[in-house]
Amino acid sequence: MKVIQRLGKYFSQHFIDFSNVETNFVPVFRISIGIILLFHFIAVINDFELLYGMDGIIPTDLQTIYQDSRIILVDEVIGSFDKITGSHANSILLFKISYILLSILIILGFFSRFSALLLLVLQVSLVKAGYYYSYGADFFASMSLFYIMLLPSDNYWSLRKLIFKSNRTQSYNVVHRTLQIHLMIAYFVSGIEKLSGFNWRNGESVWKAVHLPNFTNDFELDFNWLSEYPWVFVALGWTTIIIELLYPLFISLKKTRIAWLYLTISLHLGIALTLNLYFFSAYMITWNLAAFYFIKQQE
Amino acid sequence: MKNIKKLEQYLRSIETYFKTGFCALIMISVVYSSINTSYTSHISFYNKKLNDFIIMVLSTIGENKNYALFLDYTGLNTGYGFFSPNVSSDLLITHNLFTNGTSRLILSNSEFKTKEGASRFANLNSVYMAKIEAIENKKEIDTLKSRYLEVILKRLSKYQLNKDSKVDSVRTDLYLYHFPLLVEYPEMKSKFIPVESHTKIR
Repeated sequence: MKVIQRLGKYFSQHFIDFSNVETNFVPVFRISIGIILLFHFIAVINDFELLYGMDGIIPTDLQTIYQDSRIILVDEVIGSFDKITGSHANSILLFKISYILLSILIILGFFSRFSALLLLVLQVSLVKAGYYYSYGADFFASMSLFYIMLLPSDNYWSLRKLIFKSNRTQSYNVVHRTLQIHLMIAYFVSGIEKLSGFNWRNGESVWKAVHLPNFTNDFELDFNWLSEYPWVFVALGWTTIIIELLYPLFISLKKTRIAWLYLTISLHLGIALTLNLYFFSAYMITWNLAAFYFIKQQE
Repeated sequence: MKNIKKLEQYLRSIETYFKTGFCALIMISVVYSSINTSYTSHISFYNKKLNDFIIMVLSTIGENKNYALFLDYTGLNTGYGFFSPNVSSDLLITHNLFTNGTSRLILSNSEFKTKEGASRFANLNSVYMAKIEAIENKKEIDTLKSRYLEVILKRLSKYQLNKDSKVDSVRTDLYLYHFPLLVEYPEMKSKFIPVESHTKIR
């Protein structure tokens, strides 16, 4: 019993109180995710017809051959809109408007949980119909929308609260804790996998990543001259491994939480700069801030 | 009034139970997806033999259609490898458009007006990694899969033919892009290794 008490005292002295979180994380998460979703969709809106649907370069039926037929695909959504609009082109326009409108409702906090549910259906319909075009950011978009549905998203900084003047409070601790553990597992697994890959340990993975032709280099950064200093790539590889592998421990310690948070955010900013994965980095930074920035400072 | 308050409390407790239940499901799913993708990518990368028991457990869970649908809709069926255990090589698809004896070379994603569109379309190329892995491991690729990959390449060629009526034929080439390793640079240069080619004539 004494051992347990001592352990409890030790943990409360050195580890953050996971339940002691500021409510601000809820609207910050909701608004940030809404903005990222909106801009991520707008970034591809002019190529929508080329990518998605049966008239796309690779039609839906070819992309969904190995998928669960119960998933609602973009063609079915647009097909159902045909009954309202009467034309295929107008249905596609209605899809785009719906996506943008739902994102804005999430940002404003107007029935954002219901909007997140509808937007999740639209977002997944695109991801599954354009299965070969999807990447990590799309999965984090889906997960983010699901978290918005679970959180009391309209309770803070929201248009709904402003209009209806509701004082209703709902608990968010369980969901916030889930988000924290989710991130810890994600980074830990990533760290373990990188550690098991010899190319991450000898710097070759970082060297290869910055030379991938399909990750266009917006800033035209030249890394070739660094080949004369191979230790740079080895150091970057090991830094990435350490940041990810030890994330669960150091993000939980009071003394290292903020430093590790900034290290992780720097990692994602570096990924955005070199690999131009802006939206993926934006999701990860938002998740990190929502999960671990708004912990109340303790004595 | 009392009944309304009681009903409100009852509904709130149901909401709490649902929320807790979903959070537990999220945790289980994160653990399951992490193990599933990490294990299979590790085995694939190091060309090791699969453990029958682990595969049986993972398959049994994954084969539950309702659970798989939940994972699809929540995005929880993703792995967290992030370029692990190795950064995959990039593949490039090019189209040679022949018109009256002249030819023009374009990349498969040159159609797109947006950078995000072009980047997304380039992700398609990674579906052909299955071919590269089969060649590297000296294994036969599944016939149906091989034909499916061929159909996609032919579809790309067909799109180019339909887009421009002046084009007589299209040759679609798939290349593996090899940038020299850190230890090889700068003596070795980058190269495009041809993997497959298809010609479609109007």
